Amino acid sequence: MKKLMILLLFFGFIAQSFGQKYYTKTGKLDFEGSVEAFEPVKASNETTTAILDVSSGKIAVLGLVKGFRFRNALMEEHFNENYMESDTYPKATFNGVVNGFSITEIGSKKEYTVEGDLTIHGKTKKVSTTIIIVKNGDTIEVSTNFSVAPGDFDIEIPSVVREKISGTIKIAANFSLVKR
Amino acid sequence: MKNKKIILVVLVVIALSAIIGYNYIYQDHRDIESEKPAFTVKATDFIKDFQNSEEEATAKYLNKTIEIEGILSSIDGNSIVVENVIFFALSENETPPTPSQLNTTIHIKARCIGYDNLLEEVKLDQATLLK
Repeated sequence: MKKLMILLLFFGFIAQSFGQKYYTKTGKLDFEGSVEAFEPVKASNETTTAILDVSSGKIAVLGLVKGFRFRNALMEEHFNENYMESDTYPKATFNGVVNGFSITEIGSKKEYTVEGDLTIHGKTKKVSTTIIIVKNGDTIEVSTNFSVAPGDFDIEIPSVVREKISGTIKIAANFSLVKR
Repeated sequence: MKNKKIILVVLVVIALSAIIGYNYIYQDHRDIESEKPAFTVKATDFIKDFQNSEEEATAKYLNKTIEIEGILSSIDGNSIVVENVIFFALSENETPPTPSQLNTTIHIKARCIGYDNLLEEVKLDQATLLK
């Protein structure tokens, strides 16, 4: 009887810590590839999904490319049609792991490294960057900044506009995750 | 006299092409609220299309203006969920529905931005509620 109780407690504990997920549907992704003296090339997506498994540190992010909004409508059209080809590749995803993540450590701001596969324009590349995680009451705030080169994802920038679009695109992610 | 006329014509042509060029570069965004919907569907049929074949449904609905009828399952700030699996980001100036509308049938117009296979939800943005 005692053994059974211990066993039950044990499995109960596992079930609780296992698959504990925090998520958002309205995460923010910003990207900027502006060049000084030209019109800013930037957009943001406020409908990004992100899921963090707090028991394993696994993180999954999915941004729908059509969800990136530009101030300039023509720029948005070109972004979708010529560069990201969002009819063919509607998603941009990241699947990775936060190294050494532990939910008990994030009471105050903590910096981690995150590694994983970034898929943009149907092309996958391994990336590694620093990520800041902080627990704020019931929400876990996750933020990161990194740069990518369009060429790494087979995105060609025609020579006519090459001067106006930076060779490195800065991406910023900000997610407020809540328990699922 | 003839010279003056030519100069005038050239000036008009330059001015016109400048205006056309400007209007092309700084054209307005789509106005989903005033667009005629490409599809008018029941939420349950809409989600079924994605469950049957994500690829086909994406090709059919992506970037299209869609009018959807379904039961409001949740409200979260500026976004709402219909039939548990259809996510709408409301248009900037749109007032979210009131909690009293939860579990009632609503009509929404929005643009489909794709399928989220992590949460198994369809996402739409620039949504406006129809009376």
